[in-house]
Amino acid sequence: MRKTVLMMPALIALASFSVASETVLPESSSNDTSVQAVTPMLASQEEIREETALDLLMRFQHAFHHLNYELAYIEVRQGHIEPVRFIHGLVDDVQISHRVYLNGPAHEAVYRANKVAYFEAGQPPYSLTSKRLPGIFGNLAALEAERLSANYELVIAGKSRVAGRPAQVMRIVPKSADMYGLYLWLDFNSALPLRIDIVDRQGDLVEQHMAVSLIEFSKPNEWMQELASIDLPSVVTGANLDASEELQVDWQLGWKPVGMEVRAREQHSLVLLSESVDYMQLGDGLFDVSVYINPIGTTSPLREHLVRQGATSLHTVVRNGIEITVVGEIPPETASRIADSVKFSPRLEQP
Amino acid sequence: MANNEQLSALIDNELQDAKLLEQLANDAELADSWRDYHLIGDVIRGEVAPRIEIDIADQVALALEEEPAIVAPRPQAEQDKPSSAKVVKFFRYAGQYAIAASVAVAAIIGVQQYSVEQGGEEPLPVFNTIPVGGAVSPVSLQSGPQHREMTEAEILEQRQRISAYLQDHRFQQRVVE
Repeated sequence: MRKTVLMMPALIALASFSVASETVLPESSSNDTSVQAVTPMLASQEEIREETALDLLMRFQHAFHHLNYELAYIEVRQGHIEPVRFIHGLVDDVQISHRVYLNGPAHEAVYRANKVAYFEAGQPPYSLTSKRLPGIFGNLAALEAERLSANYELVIAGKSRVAGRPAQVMRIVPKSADMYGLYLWLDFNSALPLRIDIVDRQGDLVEQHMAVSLIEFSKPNEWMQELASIDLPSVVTGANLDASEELQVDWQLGWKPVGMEVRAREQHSLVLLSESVDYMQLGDGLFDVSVYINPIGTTSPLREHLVRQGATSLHTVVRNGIEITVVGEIPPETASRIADSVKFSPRLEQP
Repeated sequence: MANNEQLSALIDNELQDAKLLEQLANDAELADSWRDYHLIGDVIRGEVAPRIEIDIADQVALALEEEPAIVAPRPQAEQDKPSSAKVVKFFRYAGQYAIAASVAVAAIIGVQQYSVEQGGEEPLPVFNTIPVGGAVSPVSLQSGPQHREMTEAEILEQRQRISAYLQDHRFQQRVVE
């Protein structure tokens, strides 16, 4: 049953880590030394020990990046269903993947060697430098597992069946009550992803990505070969990084969920609106939050909004003519709390 | 019921079926439907009598009889009192309204995924990302207490703003690594 797909050093490091986190030892503060000491013993136990959730997650991450397969799945947000096809292959050791939305306007993404090209209706195709394969499965496969376990508990939750295949169920439970949790179904043998449910604190489903079919290939098929040779659009540098430019508004965040860290702070313009905004990105290793500060003035009066789209919540408030918008894969309550916590400099707080 | 359609056709004089007429004469349930359909038709055409005598009293009584007790068991004597029965009914309905309301919220917040995902340059007519109330602050396009109604154009603009932010968030996520 147990597949030894991982490199041995990685396994050892993992095994020690997960055991340390499972049995909350009093010496957990002196983590580094204890890991050194117990490593040899754990390595020998590895054969008989059950696969831990972290092992399983690593196995999934490896399989996702190294196998040849075609995954057809649906994305469900508030009852709205989008069918998607995801193809992945290794052509001459180069990772190729292709994600297509099957209904409605064209929307495709091609990943090849640290580059993702997006083909979308209504705008010229462009590429971005990224190590992440497109889609939520790709995001999960690119997670730093150790970073994840700092903020989430990983638990194996039993066996189930998805897309006609036996699956192992894993729960990713947030340590903070302000975040969503995940259920992850992985193919029992290959550890390829079959289903992800994003759930709120009550366990109610907010978003679902569920496979309807998964086909594995022993070698890359023709389409993958073809994708390996096509020309991809040129790479654009994501946001126009005007880091040198002064921020328009003097502001700071008063509160953020536990485990969330500021990953970027800059100024850029919104493509659809051609408006310049101050931008801050937060992340906890699994979910991302964007905070926008837009000094829109009184010309375009805005309403306070709370929008939910699957797991993505958006909350807009306007204070003193400044529009504060929080978007992220977080519960609406959390988005509201972040938006409400934004503090401006005293000068701006005057009405 | 399978032959409701036939019945409807019959009422509209689109169907002449001796067998159905005979069935109608013998089947009490069908006859009731027949009466109801005519009543509906009358109401729609505004031909209804000023006072309608619909015989529902006995059904209500029957329903009350059959109602399972949803409160904690009470002494028998108290259960006979009509007032307590009314209380039960009231709460039951309140519960049903609550369910209906939550269903409505779920229905409203449906969002067409591709409208945002594709993020085109041109304004699409399908930006129907709709606000939710939920347990949070008073929000939504519908319930701004200070401003009453928004014009079509304003709603469209608001949606476009929402889409712009959602799209940018997605874009920033892509840029990450």
